[in-house]
Amino acid sequence: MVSVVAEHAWVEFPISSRSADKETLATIGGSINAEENVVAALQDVSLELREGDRLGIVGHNGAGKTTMLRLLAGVYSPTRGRVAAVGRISTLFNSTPGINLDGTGRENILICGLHLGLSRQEVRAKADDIINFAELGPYIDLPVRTYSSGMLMRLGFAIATSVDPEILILDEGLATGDASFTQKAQAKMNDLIDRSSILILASHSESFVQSVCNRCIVLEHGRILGDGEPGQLVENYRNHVIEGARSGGADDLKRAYLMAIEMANKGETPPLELEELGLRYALGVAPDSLEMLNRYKKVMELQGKQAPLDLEISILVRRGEVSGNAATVRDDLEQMLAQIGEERVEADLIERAHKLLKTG
Amino acid sequence: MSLTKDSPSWSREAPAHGRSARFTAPSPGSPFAIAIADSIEAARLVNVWGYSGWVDVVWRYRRTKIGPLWHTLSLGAFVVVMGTIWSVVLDQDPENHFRFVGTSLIAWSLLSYFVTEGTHSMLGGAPTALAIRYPFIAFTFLHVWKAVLLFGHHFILYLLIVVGTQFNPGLTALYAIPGFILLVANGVGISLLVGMVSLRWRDFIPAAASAMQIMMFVTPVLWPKDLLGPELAYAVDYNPLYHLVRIVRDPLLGQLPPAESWIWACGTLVVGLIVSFWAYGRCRDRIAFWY
Repeated sequence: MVSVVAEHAWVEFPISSRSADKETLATIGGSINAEENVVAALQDVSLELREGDRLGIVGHNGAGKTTMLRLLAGVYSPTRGRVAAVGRISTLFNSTPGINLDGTGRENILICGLHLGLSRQEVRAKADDIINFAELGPYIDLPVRTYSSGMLMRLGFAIATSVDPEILILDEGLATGDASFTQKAQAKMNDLIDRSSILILASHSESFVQSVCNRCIVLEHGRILGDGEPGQLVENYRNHVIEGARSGGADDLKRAYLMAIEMANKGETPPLELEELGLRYALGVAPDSLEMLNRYKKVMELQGKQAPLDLEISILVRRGEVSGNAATVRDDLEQMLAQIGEERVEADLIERAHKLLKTG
Repeated sequence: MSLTKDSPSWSREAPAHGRSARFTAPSPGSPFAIAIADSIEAARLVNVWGYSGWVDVVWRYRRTKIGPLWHTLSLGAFVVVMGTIWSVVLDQDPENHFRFVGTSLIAWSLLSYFVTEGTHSMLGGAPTALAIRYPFIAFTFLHVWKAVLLFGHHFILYLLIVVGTQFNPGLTALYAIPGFILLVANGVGISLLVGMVSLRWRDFIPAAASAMQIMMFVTPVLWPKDLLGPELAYAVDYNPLYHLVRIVRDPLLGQLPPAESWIWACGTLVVGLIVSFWAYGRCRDRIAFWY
């Protein structure tokens, strides 16, 4: 009977009190106990996984996802509590066990395969598949040291996925590369997921968790915030991100943007507020995109919100600049500029507006 | 012949893949029980570290012409220079002294490899240790195996010395075999302890290197023990490294090591294994956090 059980497990990293001031550490993640000089990366984790369970772990950077995976894989032992697992485990983290940069790709396939518990004969039998999958071509006989990071990633992925485990533990964020490989990797991963009894997956992509997993855990600052059915939890998590972004954290704003993009790519309609926050991030990167400016205004209107004055002005300026004809926007723009009183508008933008008016 | 013809190749009947079919963390049991359980698991992984050690010796010198023989060559150059100069300085018979220094240094280089390179034995396993649950003691086995392989290269030098100086050590030389086994067994305890300490306290790495350098001059490997004179010579007998070198060197020079050297070597083996296994068992569940 394949299982993974954690009982009130804690993972606490020792820190040197001199190493960094505590203010800095507090913003990174985890929770700091200054008296004992430890960072509690995971606090009081209890869960039980049985055959057929597909667990997704979501949470933002520093929430403890990787530590959680390492805890459940048996790499980190809990400093308090207990973790036990029955079943052959394979993991796909950022390092491939046994890899040696001086060896060729072919030699590393053997050595990493042995580390993952395959026999020599099994590795030989699988070697051609691995080489084909990794798309390394003639590079397979060159030292791994000469590989690009993408090639190294492909090789590691191909080796790690060649093992047929009962418990599969994945850090999904790592399986990235060029688009065609990502697609292939996704297919391979799905295949592997189908074959393993228990899957544990940490992911930045809530949609991926939703489509693959039947159970979901939300981590924040090393604690389990929620545990249950993915649909509901992902929904809650999205609201949580929106809330964070509303209070203006740059990182949260970016997360909102990525989340909106991902939903749109999957054909879902992101909630208006999420789209608003995402667009706010995107406009920070490309402030002159007329298309996004208009969409942002539309999103604001749909929510019954008043678009800020600087947004209106920047749309008009941009429209005038694009058309090369100030006449169409002159009246509106003059009216807007007259309204600037208390509101904060960037000096740069005003300058551009005046310059535009002069050309007309 | 399987009857389940349509069962896919990956079905549960397929041979076991993946590592460690079950684990409980923290590891249950007393420190010694934990250390012994991990040693047994590490011994089962002989195909993993056996192959890793072999290719590592090959790979490290991949872009050189003579490969690991560089070790032999540099040791040989050292022996020639030291043997010549010190035989004059110490007023010794050149041929005898040359043979003495050469054989001493071959035995010493094995012993010092356990310490100086042992500092990286656990550190080097980082990619494995952070990806799967792995018995860290297997990193020590890997290290000791590499030391044995390098000793094999150095042994060529011994053969050259014997032929070059037309020396016949006689059957006494066979005592070097149990001596060598005892030294390597000592190496397991030493490397394990050194590996863990250097992982935890990185300052230990340069400290170990300088300590071994100093020890090389303190231990009678470049000069015979009697040169210290009757008042000081006894002090050398309390240097365990001296006895570990002796049980390999003396037989190769055609002399039988005294009983006290064998007793010392067995004593350090027992103490070394008890201390390192106890420390390993105590820290087994903390080691991953030290990377």
